Amino acid sequence: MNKHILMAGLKAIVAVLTISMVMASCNDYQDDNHKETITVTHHLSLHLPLHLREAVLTETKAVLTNVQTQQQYTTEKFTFSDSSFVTDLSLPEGYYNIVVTGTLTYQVNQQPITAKVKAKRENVPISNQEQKQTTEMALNVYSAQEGFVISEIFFTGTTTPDGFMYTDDQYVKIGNNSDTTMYADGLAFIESFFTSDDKHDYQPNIMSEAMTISAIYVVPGTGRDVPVHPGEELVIALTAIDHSSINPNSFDLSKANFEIYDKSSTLDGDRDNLKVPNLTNWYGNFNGTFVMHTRGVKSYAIARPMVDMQTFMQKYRYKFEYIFKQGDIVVPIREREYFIPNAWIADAVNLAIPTAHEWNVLSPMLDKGFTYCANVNFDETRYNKSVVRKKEGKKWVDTNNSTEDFEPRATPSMLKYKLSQK
Amino acid sequence: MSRISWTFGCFLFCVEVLQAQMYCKVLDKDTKAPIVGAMVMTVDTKKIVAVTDPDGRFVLADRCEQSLRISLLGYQSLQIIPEHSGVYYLSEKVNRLKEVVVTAQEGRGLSSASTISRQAMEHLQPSSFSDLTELLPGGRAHDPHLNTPNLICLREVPISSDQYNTTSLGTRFIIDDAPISVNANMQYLSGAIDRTSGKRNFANAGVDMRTLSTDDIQEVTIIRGIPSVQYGGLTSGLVKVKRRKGGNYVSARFKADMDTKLFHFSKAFEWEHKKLSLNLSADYLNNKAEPRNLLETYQRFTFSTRLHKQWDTRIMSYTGALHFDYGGSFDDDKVDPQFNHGGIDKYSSKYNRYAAGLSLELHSKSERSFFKKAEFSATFSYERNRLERTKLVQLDGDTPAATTMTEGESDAVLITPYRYTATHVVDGKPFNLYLKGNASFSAPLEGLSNTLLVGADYQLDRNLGEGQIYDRLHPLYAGGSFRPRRYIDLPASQTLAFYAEEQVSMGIGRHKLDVEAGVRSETMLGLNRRFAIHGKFNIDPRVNVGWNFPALRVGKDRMYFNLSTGIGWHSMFPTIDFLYPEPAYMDIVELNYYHVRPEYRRMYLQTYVIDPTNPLLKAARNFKWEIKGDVSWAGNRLSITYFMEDLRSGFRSMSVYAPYQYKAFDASAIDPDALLERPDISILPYQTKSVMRSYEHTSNGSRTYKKGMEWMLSTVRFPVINTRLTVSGAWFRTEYHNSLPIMYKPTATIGGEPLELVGIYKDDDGFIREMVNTNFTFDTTIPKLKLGFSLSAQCVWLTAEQSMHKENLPLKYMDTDGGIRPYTRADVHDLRLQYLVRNYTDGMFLRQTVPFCMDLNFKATKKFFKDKLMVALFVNKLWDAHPDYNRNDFTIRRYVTPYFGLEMNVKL
Repeated sequence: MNKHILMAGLKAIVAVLTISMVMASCNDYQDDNHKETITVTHHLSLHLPLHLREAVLTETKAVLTNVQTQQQYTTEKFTFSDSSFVTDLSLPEGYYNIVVTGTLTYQVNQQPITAKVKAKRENVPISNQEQKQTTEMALNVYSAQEGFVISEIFFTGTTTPDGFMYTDDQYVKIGNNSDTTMYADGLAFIESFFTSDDKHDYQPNIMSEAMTISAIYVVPGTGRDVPVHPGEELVIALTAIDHSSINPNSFDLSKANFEIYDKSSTLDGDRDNLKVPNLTNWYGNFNGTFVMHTRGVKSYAIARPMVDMQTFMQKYRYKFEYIFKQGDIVVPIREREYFIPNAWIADAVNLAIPTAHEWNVLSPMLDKGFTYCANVNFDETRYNKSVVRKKEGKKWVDTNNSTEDFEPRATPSMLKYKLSQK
Repeated sequence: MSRISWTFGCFLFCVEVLQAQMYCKVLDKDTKAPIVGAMVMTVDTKKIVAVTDPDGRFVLADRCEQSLRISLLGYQSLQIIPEHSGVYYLSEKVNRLKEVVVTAQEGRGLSSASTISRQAMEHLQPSSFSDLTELLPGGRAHDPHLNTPNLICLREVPISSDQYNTTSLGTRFIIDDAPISVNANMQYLSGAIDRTSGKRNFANAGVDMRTLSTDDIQEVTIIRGIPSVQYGGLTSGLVKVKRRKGGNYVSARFKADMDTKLFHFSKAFEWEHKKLSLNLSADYLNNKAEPRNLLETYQRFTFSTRLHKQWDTRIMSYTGALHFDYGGSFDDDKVDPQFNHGGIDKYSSKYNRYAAGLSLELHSKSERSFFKKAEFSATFSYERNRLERTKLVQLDGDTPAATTMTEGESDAVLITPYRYTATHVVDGKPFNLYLKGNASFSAPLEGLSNTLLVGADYQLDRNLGEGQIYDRLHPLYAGGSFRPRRYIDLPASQTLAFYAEEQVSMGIGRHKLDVEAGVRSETMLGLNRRFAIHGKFNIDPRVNVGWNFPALRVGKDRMYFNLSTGIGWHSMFPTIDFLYPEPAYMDIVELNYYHVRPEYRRMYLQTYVIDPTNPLLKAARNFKWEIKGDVSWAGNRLSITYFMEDLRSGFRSMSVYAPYQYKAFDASAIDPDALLERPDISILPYQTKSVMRSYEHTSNGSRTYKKGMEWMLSTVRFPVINTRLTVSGAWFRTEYHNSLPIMYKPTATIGGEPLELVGIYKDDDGFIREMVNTNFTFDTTIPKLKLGFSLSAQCVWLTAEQSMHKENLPLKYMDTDGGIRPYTRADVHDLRLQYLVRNYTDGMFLRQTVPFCMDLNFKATKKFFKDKLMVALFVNKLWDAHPDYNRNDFTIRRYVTPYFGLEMNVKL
């Protein structure tokens, strides 16, 4: 789910505008060829995402590149007027590619969030004609790691020859879906706290702006240590060892790129393969070993935290309350977990059980649907199955709807690979 | 013995010489049994001049020639002119033998007690003793749950927390003078985390009432109030069971209800001329908690032989009794291998109790003897209990076995293979010896009925079992830090008690005063000096006082008023398991080195062994007081009791945290490919770290504070409709408190490290439970048809629950250096310390109530063939009213399903 935060309404407005401008420009094309270059004053108006609270735009920079001359005109002076940021610039008539970048600060759960915003328009006609004096652009927040997608989540584990569940071989794959080499350093793997089979009215409700998480593990590195080439994948194993020696039905994860290792001094603690680097744990709401929810009711995402661990741990706590009801027990519950602003999230996948699905725990802008391995709750047939992102040509399908983008109940790619080796 | 009585005889003779007195006796006209508590008053002034003692005797001044009236509630008054050694017979107003009582009756004693007769049990159709608790004030019919232990809870609204088990542990069951001791019951699986084992654990929680069959019972008296000082080792109540004795019959019972089948057979022989009787009985019960599931069963088998013999000499009457009992109680639970991938998963718990007892009673026949009665009894019981849990274990990888029994560092032994069938056995052989002796004396004082009881008892408990047995290399609960433990190595628990009690009844003008005052002193013998209770005596004074007001004439009948009050302390020493707890083992992993080649893997442990014995542990002590009012008129009776009980030192298990140091070895410098053997610990760098671990510590930290009111109204059987109404109910308010600071360790992993912090919070763990109920029972007998039926409307007016307010912030906290620091407001924002803030909301501490509900239960009995065959049936919840109610804007719907059964009794 490559993330584009764009309200449906805004999308429609922009679409209508674009169509009308394109139609207008077709008619004007010939006339412009015969004219002298005239400098005109153009009004550029930037719209902020509507759902954000107390949003302030800074470090705004608009670069307008003349299509014919490749001449660039830059402005950084924007003023706030009537719920949008505006500027006027004078430049020669012509067709321009406009790129706007900036930094947006807004509030989520009383915490100021800083996110990158951008907007891009190509072949915008600029002239003295009334329709061409003004350009309106909608800004989108985006994650610095946009381009990375979760390409597979193997959360169910395998079964032993006797049929017992074996969960140590869980893994996640992250792929570079862009056309350039990207660096995974600083990318975080996160797990949702809420579950899709248990809906509550959590207050305050911050779901449209943030994901509530129970664990966060970050890829170590200084920024250029973990290159991922276009179309390549990283394998993150929960236990990066050859599992087939313990469970013949399992596979070898000792070649994984990263391992999720939790330090522990207990007898049933986690194992660490020193040959595979570990993800850096920031937080987990458990003591012991991280295991993905095998029934498949939690959501998983990759995100680029824009703050350091210390700040995150102190400032990004989310205190929420809800009414718990079971039988004749009805009690208000308070909990404290962490939240990750949606703006930081590069890709997110909802998991659910179709027959036990109560809600999606992520904003529909991150994922409109869900994918699954279990048909029913506590489905014994869910094991040895995975959710794998579909591919179209060399690219992974990413429409921010995992119902469409994923193949549910798929054969885990690691198992497929093991079988192909035989 | 005769020599003792002879001595007292001499003493008496002396008394007689000093003062000439008249000795008279009052007996029941039908049974010829002595009548106790009858008032002897002058006819003209109605001044009470004497009260009969337990032998029916009263003493008057010599030459008392005035006309006297002997009167007692329930009997026709008798007018007499007293004479020397006169014997007078009172006849009952209503023939008690013909009267059918199908409910519990409030006792006539000074202390509040419920008496349940054989008839009531026949009508109730119980499967086990637990069904009888329905008849107590505050009780109501519940569907039997025979797949888990049934514990008694007197005068309380129970909560589901094993921190407040002292009430059930402190309710003493005495069957024909022989107590059931649970002091050495340690049948629990250490390390158990599964519900199958957990729900059946009742160690340190009292008597499992499932194991007690009701068919042999003649009468049960449940003393809710303050019992006589001759009963000890209790805090909360006393259940006295009198079993059937004598008769010449063969009887059989077959009962079936929705989950249970029960067979009972008994045979009684009585040789009246020899004053010898023998009773034999056997009982079998088979229960399936879910009739469609054949794999979860409960079975009970009991067998009992009781021999009674009476001898008479000129001055003494001797009664000897010998009994032998066997009780077997068997829980079985399996998982169908088809649903468990072919693996075994089963639980079995067997209790085999063998008990034998001998008792001897001497009664003085001499009217004027100071010595009245002596009792001696010796009871012995031995149990062979075996709990067995077998399960197929599948490990997720290399897991160390918890093997070292001593403190220190060691190489872990990894469990192989990854898949094995583990068996964990708990072998318990509790052994109990109980000796009791007491004597009663009475001084023949004019107008004053008095009895002095002095006695002693001794109890020894020990567990001779092999204890927790399993293969340490293949544990049932892998990853746990538990070790096998032999119970036979534990010391015995011995208690010795002395007691004295004086009972006095006398007239004060037209009023009658009854006083029963006693003191019991109990100590533990053979206890190590390190225990604070070593050599200490618990002194329990108990007093019950009754006041009878002069009867008023209302209509044709007299109305009797009686007011009684009691106050008492009740102590119970800790069980063997509380005194000698299982050592706590802490296994801390210092190195967990994984290598592709198994022979290069190494796991290194630091083990700590902690003795969690609490040398300061003392007896749980309950303070009770109650006041009871009783009004009787024309066969109708109303009694109301208000009580208060405060058990401040109930047993409780609390987690005690402390930092435990270990070396965290760093193996990251090792090149796995260059390794030629497993890593050498001595050259590995390490960092000394501490981990916060806890063990369970038993203390006297649970307080149970009870108050409430119990009421019982029973009317006469109204003529024509032959129906009697019994209204019984109670209001109970129970507060459960913890009185010790709470240690809590939040679970979180921060920056890759488990959070090692422990918050110390106020002792604010507490619950309030409240309940008001009333059962209206209409019972009808139609003697012509030999038919009896009853309809009981069991109403619960209200139940309420509330949790005590808890502070979210800790008072202090403990860090890994062991230092305890105060928690400040600023710590709320600290990266680590913020996790110590708990998440309770105010809404959790609101009082929540559940409104009215009612069940209508129907029971019927019918006799055929000259009473040789009796058929009975019951339908509980035949009709019910459980209205919906709202809670926090949610509508709560309630529903119940009927429960029914049928039975057949044959008596030849």
